[in-house]
Order: sequence, then C-alpha cells, then structure tokens
Amino acid sequence: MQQFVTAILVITVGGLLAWLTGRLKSLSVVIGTGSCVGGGLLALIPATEILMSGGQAAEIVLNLPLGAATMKLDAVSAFFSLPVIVLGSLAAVYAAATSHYDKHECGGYWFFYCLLMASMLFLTASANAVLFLMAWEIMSVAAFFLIIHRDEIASARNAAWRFLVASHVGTAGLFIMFAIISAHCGSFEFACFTRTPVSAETASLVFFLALFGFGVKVGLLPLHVWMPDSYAFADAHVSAVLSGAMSKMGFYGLIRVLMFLPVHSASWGWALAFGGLLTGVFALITALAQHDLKKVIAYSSMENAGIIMMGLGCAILAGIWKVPALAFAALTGSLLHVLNHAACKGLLFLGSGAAYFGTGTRKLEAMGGLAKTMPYTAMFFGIGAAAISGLPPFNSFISEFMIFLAGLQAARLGTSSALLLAGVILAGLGLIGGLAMATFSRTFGLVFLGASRSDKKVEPRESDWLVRLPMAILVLVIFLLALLSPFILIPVARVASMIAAASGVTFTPENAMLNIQPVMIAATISFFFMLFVVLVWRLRSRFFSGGDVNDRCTWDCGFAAPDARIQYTSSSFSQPVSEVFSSIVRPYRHGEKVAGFFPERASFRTDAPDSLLRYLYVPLFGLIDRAMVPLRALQHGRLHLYICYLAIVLLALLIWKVVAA
Amino acid sequence: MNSIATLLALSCIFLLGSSRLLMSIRMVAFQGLLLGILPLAAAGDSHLSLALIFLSLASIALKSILLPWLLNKAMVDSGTRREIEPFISFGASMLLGLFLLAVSGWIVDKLQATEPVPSPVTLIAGFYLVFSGLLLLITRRKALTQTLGFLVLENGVFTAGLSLGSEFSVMVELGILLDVFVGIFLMGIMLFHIDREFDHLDADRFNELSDLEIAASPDEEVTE
Repeated sequence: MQQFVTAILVITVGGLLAWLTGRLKSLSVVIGTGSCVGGGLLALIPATEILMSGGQAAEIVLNLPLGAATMKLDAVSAFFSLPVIVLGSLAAVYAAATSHYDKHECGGYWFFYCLLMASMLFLTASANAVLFLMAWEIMSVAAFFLIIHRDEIASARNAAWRFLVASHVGTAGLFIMFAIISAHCGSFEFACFTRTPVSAETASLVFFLALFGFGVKVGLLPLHVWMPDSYAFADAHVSAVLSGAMSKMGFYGLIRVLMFLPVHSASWGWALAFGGLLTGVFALITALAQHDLKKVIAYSSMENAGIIMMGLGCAILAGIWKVPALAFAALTGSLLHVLNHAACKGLLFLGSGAAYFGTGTRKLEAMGGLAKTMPYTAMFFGIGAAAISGLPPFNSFISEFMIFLAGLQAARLGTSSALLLAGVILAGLGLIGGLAMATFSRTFGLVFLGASRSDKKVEPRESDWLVRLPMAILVLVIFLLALLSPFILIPVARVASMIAAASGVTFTPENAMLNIQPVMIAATISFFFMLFVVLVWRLRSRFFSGGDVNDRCTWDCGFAAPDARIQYTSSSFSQPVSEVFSSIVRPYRHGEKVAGFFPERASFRTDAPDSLLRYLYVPLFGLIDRAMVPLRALQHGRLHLYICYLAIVLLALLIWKVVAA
Repeated sequence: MNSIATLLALSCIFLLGSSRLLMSIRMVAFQGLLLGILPLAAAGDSHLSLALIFLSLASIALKSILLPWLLNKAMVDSGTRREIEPFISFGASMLLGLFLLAVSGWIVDKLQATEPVPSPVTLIAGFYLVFSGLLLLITRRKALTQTLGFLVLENGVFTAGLSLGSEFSVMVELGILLDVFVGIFLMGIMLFHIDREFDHLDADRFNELSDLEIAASPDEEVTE
C-alpha cells in the first residue's frame, strides 16, 4: 500500500516538476514521462501482488483535519487500477514521442496529464466517500484541461465545456448519493457503508443516483453527449486514457456502490441490461454515420460500455435468481471486457493519432491508402479494429463470448424473465457485434485501404519507433489477453467472487469450471488459428512473394481512367445501414440530385450529429435557458448590489435565528 | 466602556452622513483609537496585562495611524476628494443608519432574553458597526469609501467579540489585525493601480472589463 501511495506521489510531483520546467520543453517532457512510467511501474507491483495472491487488502489511514479517512487497496481496486497504470504509462510514452508535433507550451499539459493519472489511482484506492469524491473531482477537472488543450479551436472549447457541464451534473448525483448513504450510517467510510443495511427504497434511490452519476462517465445512453466531441478534440493519447481508463472509473464506482448495497433489486438489473443494449446499438448506428475517425472510435467506446453494462445487469439478475453459474459468467465476462476494451481502445486511439500525424486530418473523407505508407500503423490499427469488433482470435471475443455464455445459460433457466434476459443478451450482442464489424471494416477500409482521397501531395510518413512502441506493446497485451485468458480468468474470477460475495452470492469451483472450460477451448482454438495465420503468412512470403507486385489502383472497377474519387466514400459505405436506422440517427443529407440523361454534377453527403443532442438536449437546455432569463436581472454585474444581497441574507438569517430562539 | 461604544456608534452615523473623504478617513482613524482603548476598558484595572497593552498599542498604531495614512495617500494620489452621488443620499443613509441602530438594539434585546450579555451596549455598537460597514459598502460609489466600509465592518467584528467578554486571546486578535492590515494594504495598492488604469475610482463602473453585456442606463453614468 505504501508503494501505491508512493506511486501516486511520484506521479503528482513529477507533474508539478514538469509544469515548473515547462519552458524547457524537452526536460519537461522527460520528467512527465518518467514520472508516469516510473509511478506506473511502482503502482503495478502492489496491484498485481494483490490480484495474484487474492489476498489481504492493504490499508492506510490518513488523518485529515476533518476526521480520519481510509485508503485501501483490495482486489477490486487493484483490478481497476490496471488499465490506468498500463494505459497511463504507455500513453505518456506516446505523448513524449509525439510532443514535437505540438507547438503549445507543454508544462501545464503534462501537469494535468500526471494529475489525471494520479487522481485515477487515488480514486481506486480511496475507501472513504470524501476522498473518493475529491479524487473524482480532480480527475474530471484534469480531464477538462487536457481536452481544452487546443483551445484555439472553437469546437474544442465547446467540447471541453460540454464535458465539464456533463461531469459536474453527474457529480452532483454522486454527492447526493453519498450523502444519503452516509446519513444512514453516520460516517463517510466505505467499510461503514457495507455494514449498514438500508431500506429497499433507499437502496433503489442510491443505485439509480449512482447509475446517473457514473453513467455520465461511462457514456450511458442519454448521458453520453459529451463523449464523442471530447474524445475527438483531445489529443490521441489523452483520448486513449479518457476512454480506456477514465470511463472505467465509472464502472468501478458503480460496482463499489453495488457492493455497499447487499440486497439488490431486479429493476436495477433490467435497467442495466436494457440501458446497455440501447447504448450499444445506438452508439454503433451513430458511429456508422460519422466522418471523423476519432468520433467513430469514441462511439465505439460507448458501445463497449453498453456490453459491460449488459453483463453487469445480467449478473445482478442472476444473483437475485440465485444462479451462481450465470452470475459468474456475466460478472467475469464484463470484468474481463473492461481490461480488453481498455487495451483495444488504447491501441485504436493511439493508432488514430498516428494516422492524424501522418495525414494532418481526422476526416475519413480525406484519408485512404495509408496501409502502403504506414504499414505498421495499419497493422496495429487493423488488429485493434478486429479485436474490438469481438472477432476471434482476439481478446474481446473471449470476454464477449463469456457474456454470450451467460445468455445461453439464462436461456436454459426456462422462466419467462430469464428468457427475456437471454434474448436481450444474445440478440443484443449479435446485433452489436455485427454493427461493430460494419463500423470497423468501414473505418479501417477508408483510412488504410484504397488510394488517398486527399488533394495534398504530401506523402504521409510512417511514425517513429517510439510512437509505434506503445502500440506494439498494446498489441502484445491484446494477444496475451486472448491466449492466456484461462489463466487471467483466475484472478478476475477472484475479483468477481469478491463483488458477488458482497450481495451474498458465493461461487463454487464447479461454477467456475463450467464457464472456464469453454473459454479454454476458445483460447486454444485462437492459439491454433493464430499459428495457422502466421504459417500461411510465412508460406505466402516464402513462395509467392516473387509474383506480380505492380502497384495498381485498388478500386479499378473496369474504368479506363480510374481515379481516387471513384472509391467508396465514408457516406456511401455506410449509407445502406444508415438508411435502415435513419429514423434514429436522422442524418442531414446534402447534395444535388442526379437529373437528366447526362447529369453534369451530382453530389451526396450525409452528416450525422448526435441525435440525442439535437432532439433532447438542445431543446431542453433552450427551454431552461428561456426560463432562466428573468433571473438574469439578479446577475447584473454590479458589485454594490451583490454585497447588498449578502447583507440582506445575513441580516435575515440573524433576525430569523434571534426570533426562533 | 459604554461611553466608548456610544462614541463608536455616533462616529458611524457621522460616516454615513459625510461626503468628504478626508473627514471619513479621520473618523475611521478615530474609531481605531476608540477600539484601541476599548480592550483596556473592558479588562478593567485588575486584569491589565502586558500583552493587552501591546495589543491595544498595535491596534491604535495600525488602525488609527498607518491605515488612515495609507488611505489618505491613495486619496491624494487619485485626486478624489468627495463622495458624489451615492446610491442613497446622505440624509437617507443616516436615517437608514438610525433604523439599523434600532435593529441592532432589538436583536441584542432578543439575545438577552435567552442568554445574558455582559455588556449589551457594546454588543449593540458591534452589530451596528457591522451593519453600517455593509451599508457603506453597498451605497457608496468610490472604491475608497468602500475600503472604509470594510474597515468599519472589521471594527464591528472586533467590538462584538470584545463585548461578548469571552476569553479573547491576544494571538487571535493580533492575527485579525494582521489580516485587516494586509487586506487594506492590498486595497490601497489596488486603488492606486485601478485609478491609473481607469482614471476613476467608481466601483460601479469597474464592470467595464466584464464580458457580461450590461445595459447600463445613461442616467447612471457619473462624472467627477
């Protein structure tokens, strides 16, 4: 535990030093990166120790001015600190490697980056509501400053502002939630929360407040609107950390709250399952219509949050139905998916950053053909894209497979509500998987295949080895997570059983074996499949590499003079799917119709801003804005009257107190 | 002790009615002097200690010599001599001041019903100083008068604390003195800079820098 706290301190102090040395850019970068990587390694040791030994949680009691507060590193905290540690350090290396692209002063940037990482580690280790909320606030504010780094762009400012508003609205929910629980037990310590039983109504209120507060961070359906823009306008490594690590903190919080409440209610499970389903499907059909590379990836992170939520919902319902095997599959699957998604999403965001530095744009319409000039980035991005779509033999397949297994087990229970749950999970995961495939084949195809759509004559160059190193490590992590999944499942199952034990569900070894066995098979098949691919690749390069290697236009289609413009565009590729869901996505269509026998001009372009933003939040906030106009009279900027308000309130309070006495 | 408190209250009424800044500053200096004597009077002959005398001297030095001198300098440098057109006219603010005096008396009266106050007149004066300090802050345009209002408010807090007769620690009072000193010192520096940048000390026009769009009606514009 001391080591963990030291790591947090190292990162914070490193951030401060990087800020102070901001003028000497290279020194600041070295200090920032060094502290993130060093602190990450330092924190990794106790975290893995606790996960592997399954053992004793370490505690440390801080004597703060307003009472003692506990910091505690148990298996759940250690598990959720893993994505922070790994992605935080890798993204720091990536940021250092790409820092020469950045013309801004970087001291403050590194300070907030280190602060973000330190606050997330602090968050996972805090076992006190006040510490938790403090860490949560620091995390949100640090993330805000990272997003607004490119503040010369108006949209970036808007995105960061939206993030700040959304996260504070969410935090308000968390404040109320913690206030309710602490009022019940009279202390802010988590240990006290778990001991104190609350009534069913209060428990439901607490859960839904938590779902609201943490849902903002994970991107639950109507609360996700900050996500696409913020991830798009933040730098690649920042988006990687935000999506891979920070949004996972929402799940961490949700799981903690579930552990406080021993008796769960079925409505929570259904809310999570249906919320997850809607989130996943909505995210992907919107992602299909996006033209910004990073927005596509941002929506996909929302989709994965949906999958994890479905798993959690299923686990809650299984706990209520007293089916431990089902709870095991769902809970372990969703926990594993947290790790898998962090690895894939980190890789994809870093890859998108490399593509951005290569081409200077994030617009899919202006990319294309990068596989020829940036082969490594293309390979890494391709692996990430295949992995996140849940394709075997990669890691997300394993975790989605476990949630599938949960669905199949639910189907065998036979009761009507279990069948409904099975339907939600099986059909939902099927639909989400298919849409994810479509989204990522489109993205990969548009960015890396075909010919360049850009008018610029500058040839994109492959990035440096130091930029590729974090991506290569993440690819390695993906392979390890896939191939070693049966072994990784053992500590994950320990975490899951700790979570389940809080609500009185105990897993037997048979429950575990029932679910780990299919995973073992899947991992073995994945291994042989990878072996097969590698062998075929070797054979191909050995025997067929001497063939026709002329460079041809990819989309020839029998034209005499093919041209990059006859390729599929991002609008046209997704048009068939978007058309089906157009009532939900409601894309704007621009362009001129084809008219006459020999049309001279025709164009078509779709544009799909988030429909919930357009149809829910803009009218809603417009309404609030109009309703608040009369109050503007109070906010006039005159100092005298402000003091007058204060004086009147003070006097009124005094008189009230005196009269009441 | 009661006579000192009465003098404090009277000086406040004078402050509320005076338009000349120099007189106001002198009046606040006079208040500082009274406040310096007040702890000695409160302690009586038997409890006089060295620390108390030191506190009293420090208070007098700070509140009736150093700060008035600083404010005087700021006034001379900025060339502002008079408080013109306050939001509430001098007569009305004096009347309002009397009303506030009555309110303070009423509050103390009510307080006494629940718990005996050792020195009610001083407590009334303390409340009254706080209220009139706030009133000065609210109704005057010049930043200098507002600084004076702040000082009066602080004096009120000091007086109220004394009147409650609690075991006041010299260290705490010295800390408050230091606080006030730093506050007024900073205000003095700021006044100087504000005057140089804005060419006036009208606090109601400081929001020229604000990005909030305010529809200020033309009749509110003030000229020196």
